[in-house]
Amino acid sequence: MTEAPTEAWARAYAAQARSDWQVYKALQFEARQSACHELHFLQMACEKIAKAYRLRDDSVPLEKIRTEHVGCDKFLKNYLKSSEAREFYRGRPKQLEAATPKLVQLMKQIQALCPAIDSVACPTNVEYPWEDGSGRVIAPCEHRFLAPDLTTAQARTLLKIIERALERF
Amino acid sequence: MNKDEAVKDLIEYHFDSESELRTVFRFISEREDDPDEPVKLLEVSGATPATGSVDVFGFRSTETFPFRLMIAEVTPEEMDAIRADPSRLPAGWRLDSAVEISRNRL
Repeated sequence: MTEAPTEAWARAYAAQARSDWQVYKALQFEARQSACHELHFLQMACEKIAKAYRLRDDSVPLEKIRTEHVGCDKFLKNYLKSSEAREFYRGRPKQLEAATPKLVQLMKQIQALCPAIDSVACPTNVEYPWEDGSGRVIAPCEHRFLAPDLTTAQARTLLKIIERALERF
Repeated sequence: MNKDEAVKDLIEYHFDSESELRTVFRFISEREDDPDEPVKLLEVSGATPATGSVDVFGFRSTETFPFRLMIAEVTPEEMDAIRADPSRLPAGWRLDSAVEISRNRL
């Protein structure tokens, strides 16, 4: 039996997202590497898994989804409504309500690490050098990223949710 | 749990966990009785990022919700635009065959 094209693409995006995630996890323990590399793989894993779930909408032409920007924040908001994510907050809907804006904000910060998102308003990114307001050119590998702060309890929850979305695709 | 009960339970959970959720549209297809036909929900929320499009994400069935779920969120303003131009909806999602569920009418 042949796989429908969108299913094949969705599966492949999810596979690549999982691979990116594994590199992200490995880089977490590489103190010699700049933080930009770890964050880069985290951002790419999020972007690709969001696209994989988006590709399940087979009413949209494949090329449109492949070439469009899929919002990771929008994906997360919808994922939190799925029964998979519901297990995180079973019986605690008010806690989910309180946590959602913070989780979405963190996801937006991860998404903003991509150079293509808003290079004018937010030039800081994990991939290419940028010029700051004072004319200084900064390499991502020399930059100390203050956001997203992945040391918080909220961030740990988000990372668990992302991992679940990757595993259960 | 049948499909309608499972959907009601899920939507109830969505209302309980999001005070900004205004209303939910459930799109009913001609094949809705088929367990493989996904549940299709469009949720109107004041807390979702506006994108100007209806971005549907698909989730597979789970033990607690044994049906595929296709879900999208739009802002109230985006919903107004959809009402004015239903072609903004994904193919096969028709407002005239949708059930509108509000917080008080679950």
